[in-house]
Amino acid sequence: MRTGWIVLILLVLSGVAVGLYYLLPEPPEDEFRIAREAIATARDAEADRYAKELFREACADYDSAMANWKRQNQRFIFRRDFTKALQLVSSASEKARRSAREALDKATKVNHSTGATVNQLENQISIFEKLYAPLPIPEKTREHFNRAKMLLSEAKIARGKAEFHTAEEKLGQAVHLFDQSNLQAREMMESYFDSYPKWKSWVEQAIATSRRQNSEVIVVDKMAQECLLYSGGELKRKFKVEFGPNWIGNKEYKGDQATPEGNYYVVQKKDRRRTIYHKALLLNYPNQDDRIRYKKNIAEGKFSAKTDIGGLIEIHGHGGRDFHWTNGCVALTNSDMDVLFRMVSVNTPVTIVGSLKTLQNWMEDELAK
Amino acid sequence: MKNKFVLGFVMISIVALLSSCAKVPQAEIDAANAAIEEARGAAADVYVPAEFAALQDSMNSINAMVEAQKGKLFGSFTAVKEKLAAVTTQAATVKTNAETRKAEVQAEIETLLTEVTALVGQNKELVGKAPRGKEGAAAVEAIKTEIGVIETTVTEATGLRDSGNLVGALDKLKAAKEKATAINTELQDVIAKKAGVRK
Repeated sequence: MRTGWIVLILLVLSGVAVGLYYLLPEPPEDEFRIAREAIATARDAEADRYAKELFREACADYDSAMANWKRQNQRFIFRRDFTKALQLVSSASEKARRSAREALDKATKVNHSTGATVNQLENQISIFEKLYAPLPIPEKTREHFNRAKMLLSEAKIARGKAEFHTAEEKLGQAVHLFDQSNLQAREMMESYFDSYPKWKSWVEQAIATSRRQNSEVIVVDKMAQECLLYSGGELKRKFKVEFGPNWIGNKEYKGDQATPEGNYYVVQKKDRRRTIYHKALLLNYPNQDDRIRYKKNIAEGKFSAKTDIGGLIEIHGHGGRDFHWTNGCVALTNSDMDVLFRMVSVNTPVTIVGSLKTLQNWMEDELAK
Repeated sequence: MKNKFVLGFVMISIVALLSSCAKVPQAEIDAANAAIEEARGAAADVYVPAEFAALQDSMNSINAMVEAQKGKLFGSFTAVKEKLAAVTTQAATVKTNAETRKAEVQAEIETLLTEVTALVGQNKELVGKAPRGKEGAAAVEAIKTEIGVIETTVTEATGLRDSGNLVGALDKLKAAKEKATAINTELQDVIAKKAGVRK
């Protein structure tokens, strides 16, 4: 009798256990595993960087789903409901997959766009180096340009490590700095070449005078760094020359290391006994135009009235150093100076201009070199 | 009396069935989480990001396992405990790896700092010896400004290093070294060519 009871109780208990096992709601383990895998794949695709918002939402949904699962587990076994947890975890999976796709697309785009920007910037830098780097551009402009180059190097290192996001950031800064320096240099040259019509007129008049009087005139072209000797209106000789370090622009005062621009003439021929620069042709700097401009600058407060206008501007020897070293004079090699010295006399007109070409032509020729 | 005994036995059995038999290994979970936080504290997410992400994935997986077992009638945490022990050990390894990598990056930074500083000093000397070149003073000025920018980059890199951004500092120094080396090569070539011409 007792054995019968025990068997019956055990059977009832077994039945209850089996029934409970099948009646209990299934924990959403697989769905959570799938979501975790999707999130891991998205993270590998750098979704946290390239699809930030969507990836963040996917993680938040997963965390909410997990919290909901925990809450359900705290309820009485038959009252557990995983519907909400399943919805959230499915949403997490879906968002993670979308963020992975978006991240891959974005990374590919950023890879291509940064590659294109690197090429474009390298090309622009090469143009800048040909056109403006050899010129006495302001220190700030040069610094911006060099910082842009450094940032470009940093961006290339980042690209090499497939850190396209960092590369994009560095390139943005590099492009900004380069644009600044390029604009400053371009504006400086445009402003300088505003005088081109005047230069052209001076040179045409000088050559016409040479032709009319069958005499010699000297034309100095700063941008070409050439001294041209005309006789009877014909170009007879061409010499390479060097100027002062601040050779772009006009001479304003003593010590500015700039070479004047204007119409001058030789006031004195100095042989070796009267110059330390082999031979020299002293010019009548400052001429009347220089004096007017000097007075105007003082009146406008550009510099003090005590500032000296300067003088002793010569065409002399000791050149051929391949850099601009004079205090504003025009320097030729000694052998060229010997030739020039022989061919000109006191009162020979000397026209010094910025360029014989327009800015556009000058740029095209420089880039073609 | 006998009936009461049987009824009591049945009730106790049902309660035992309905309540979980196994206990959540909270101490082990806390230890694993603490180990992961230590790894994060050692900047594992910066220096060994893949290892750290794997660690986090493992912990997330364990959390899900815990909930799954909690939801089962006869939940067992044996496998969970084993995995938690493995994650705790792994977290310690990840922490060590992060510290090792950080030390390597730090050493690399110091080496690069020494190299770039030496190159900058050498370049300054070479600028003085270099012929002015076709572009003249502007070219020399350009090189001087480039050296100045390298010095600024070194200062920026030092600042990043001091603020703990070692990876950022390393990348800056790599770029600075590349530029300083290029200038050095250019200057030495020009000087060598000039010397060759003089002969």
